[in-house]
This record gives sequence, C-alpha cells and structure tokens, in this order.
Amino acid sequence: MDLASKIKGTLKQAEIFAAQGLLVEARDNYRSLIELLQAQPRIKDREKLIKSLAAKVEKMEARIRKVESAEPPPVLSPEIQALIKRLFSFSQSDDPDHVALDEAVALTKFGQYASAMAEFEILLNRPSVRLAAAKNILRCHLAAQDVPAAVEQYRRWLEDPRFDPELQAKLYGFLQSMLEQQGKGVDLPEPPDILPSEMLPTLQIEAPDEVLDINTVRIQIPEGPSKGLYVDYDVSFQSGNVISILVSETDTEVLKALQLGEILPNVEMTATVAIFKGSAKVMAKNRIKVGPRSGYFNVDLKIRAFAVSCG
Amino acid sequence: MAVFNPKKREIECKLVYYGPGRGGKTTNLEWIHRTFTKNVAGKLVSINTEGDRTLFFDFLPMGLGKIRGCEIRVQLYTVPGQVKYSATRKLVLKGVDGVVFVADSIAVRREKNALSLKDLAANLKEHGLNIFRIPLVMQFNKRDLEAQGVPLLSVEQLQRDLNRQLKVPAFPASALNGEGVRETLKTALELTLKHLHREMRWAQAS
Repeated sequence: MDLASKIKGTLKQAEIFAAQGLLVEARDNYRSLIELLQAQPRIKDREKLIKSLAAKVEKMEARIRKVESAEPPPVLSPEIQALIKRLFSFSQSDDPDHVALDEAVALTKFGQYASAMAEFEILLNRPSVRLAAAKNILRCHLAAQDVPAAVEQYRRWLEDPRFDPELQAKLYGFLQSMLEQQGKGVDLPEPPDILPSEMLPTLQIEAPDEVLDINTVRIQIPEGPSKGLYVDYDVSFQSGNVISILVSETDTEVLKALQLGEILPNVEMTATVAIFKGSAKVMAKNRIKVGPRSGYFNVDLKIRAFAVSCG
Repeated sequence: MAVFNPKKREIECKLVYYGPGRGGKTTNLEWIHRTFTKNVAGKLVSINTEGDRTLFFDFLPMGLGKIRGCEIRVQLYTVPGQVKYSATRKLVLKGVDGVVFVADSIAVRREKNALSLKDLAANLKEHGLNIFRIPLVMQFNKRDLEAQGVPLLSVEQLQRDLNRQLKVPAFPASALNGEGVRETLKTALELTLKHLHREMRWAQAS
C-alpha cells in the first residue's frame, strides 16, 4: 500500500472510530499518523498536516477526559425515578413501610440522594424502619461527600424525641464506623446515657431458615497487629443462612481467624433493609486455584445467631 | 427472576443486553423499539450522558401476546458498558432471566470483548447464576464496518475468543441497519422461555 493510501485509510478509520465513540482508538490512530508523517520529511505540507492531526489528538483527549471524569450522577426526572423504584426495589415484604424503604434504597443506588433522603425522612416517622431510614440518610450524605451534613444530621437526632437512647447509640456506632472507614477523623458527640455494648443485655435467637438477602459482612480481626479492626466483605453467594465471601490471600490476619469450625462472635451483616449483628461459624474455606480470582479463598459462613440489643 | 401468575396465566421475564462500551447494545434496543411497534408495551427509556453513552440503563417493555396459553411480557434492559459502571451493571443484572452478549467486531476492541464477558460471568456468579446455565445468545455486531475498510475480527475468531466453551447461539449483526437484531432477540426469547418453562412449567400443553 502506498503512503498516501495508508494515510487516507488510517485517517478514515480514525474518523469512523471517533464517530463510534471509540475515542482512545481514534486518538491512537491520529497519533500513529503524526509519527508516520514525522518520519517522512519530504511530504508536501507536512507541518500543516501534523498540526491539524495534533489538534484532533487534543480534541480526542478532551473528550476522553470528559468521559472518564467522575462527575456526580445527574438528577433524574420524577418519571424515571418512579421507574427506578419500580424496577429496582426487590422487596418481598407485605409491609408498605419496608417496601417504601426498599424503593428509597433503589434511588440511592442510582445516585438520586436528594430524592432518596426526602423519602427516608418520611420513613423516620415509622418506628419499624426508623433506624434503617436514619442510617440510609447518613449514608446518602457520606456518598455525596458531605461529612459535615452527616454529622450535623446526627447531632439533630440527639435532640429529636423520635430517637431514644438506644437508637442514638446505634446511630453513633454506625456513623463512627463509617467515618473511620473513610479515614475521616471526626469527634462525634456521644449520645447521653450510652451504655457500653457489653452492658446491654442481648437476646440470642437462632437464625431462622429464611433470612434477608445479606449484601456485606463485617468481621472483627481477633488477634495480631490489627486486632479489633473491622474488615468488610461483599457476599458473593447466599443460600439460606449460609453466606459465601471471597477473601484475598493477602488478608492474612483475617484468614488466620477463619479456621474451619471457628465461631466469629462479632459479625455485622448488612441487608437491604437492616443492619444486624450476629456470630458466624466457618463452614468451609477453599482456595481458588484458577480463573480471575485465583489466590482468593472462598469462605462459607453459617450465620449462627442474631444479637438484638435492648436497653 | 421471572414472575409467573398461574391464575391469570401471565409471565414476565427479564432480558439484559450486555457487552463492552459502544458495542451496540442501545442500538439494538433502538432498532427493536422502531421495528416491533405492535409488541412494544411502553416507551424506550434511555438514561445516558451527553455523549449518548448509557449512564445507567435502557429499558424497553414488550408484550409478546399469548404463547401456549400464557400472556408473555418481557422487559429488555441494557447495561452501561464503561468499565467504571461496574456496580450499575451488577444491579441491572439482578433478577435476569436471559442475556444477549453484544460483542464488538472491530479488531481493536478484541480485549474489551473478553473483559466484558469475564465481567458478565463474575456478576452472574454474584447473583448465584452460572454463565454456562443461563439462557445466553451472542451477537457479533458491526459487521457492516468491513465495507468501510475497518479491520474486523472474523466471525470464526470471535467464536474462538468468546464462544469456544459456552457454545451458545451466535449471530453476526449490524444493529445500525437491523441486520441480525431480530434473529438475536428471537433466539434469546426462545431460550429464555424454554428455560423458564423447565423452571416454572408455565406453558400449557398444545
């Protein structure tokens, strides 16, 4: 293929890529043309061509930057928000308050924090979902990168008669934990009459056969240099009250604690509509030898008990 | 997860178009929306960015009428293809009954196809589903670009890359022109409804 045809062909291809939205590929084509021309000093109007191609490269790079930028999600219309609530709330509850909670949670998953918070605010008046709604309001503030708003909201609840000392204590623990995870050192005011958790009587019940869908599990490291710290894992699979998590081989302290038959006493589980504490028994631990998760350990945990704290 | 009402004899199922960014998933739905006007049961909802990239999902509800004594409704979705929208893809995939994997035939997109297929397998697994068992159809899109001199992967190469182990039905296509779109959708629906019949026994004996 002669040079002129090659240049024409590569240029045409770049333009097709750009029209397709394949910006990186288009940019790379323009760059390769610049290199080609730079190696050919005798081409007529070479400098003019190179300049024109450089401008195209710059244009592609500007578009790539825009596409890759972490802009906040746009506010969607009420119609689309209603559609999201219909399509992406998977609640199987008959309780309208739990259904409403699940719908509001669906909005948060698409970054519609303002609308979600408005719905959670209404649900604060429903005792059965008050705690979950409050936690989700705090999550929304933190997801929107507004730590001061989350802290201020929590402070307001300390004086809100709807929130008794027990709820305030739970919210304190929850927000404290979220802020630590994000590396934000904020001194939260402690709620009045807070009792250390070990002084609260706990009601231990056996896990029912049917449990909520658990999304994440938080395990406390029992020993070693990181003793007492919490580590979060996404639940990769769940069957009844047995959940599976994938633990990296680099999480050595956690893996050491996850011996077969071992009972983990301080486990926190997050479901769509609730966060609850419990314990879990290690039922299986298998190293993945092939595939994209090679080196990870697949760990099965049987949720052994739910702990409900009552003042 | 399909919803079957045995009293009303209605079944509603979910089909998701998956694949790398800019591969033609939304174009598939747009063509279906324009063409199957009798079966479209609502608006095509597209939530995308200024550059027409899918931001969250596309959604198109369809009614297929009565088949084997049962009213069939299907919801078509697409996922955003950009790598950074992984969490949204996982969310949209929840409750899926059938998948259409739209691969990009352009040669420089070969790696993106493979990564997207891996991503699909991983996300299905997180939902307790197995890519080898779920109703799945492949589409090798953008075949029309060969005529414009763009280097494409051959259908044989795409089969080797993406379908060697899965061995699912695969269709060359040009979603922009509608070529292969109908066949892809028809086969995906057939596989999905057959699978659902095995699970739910929705179809009456003819």
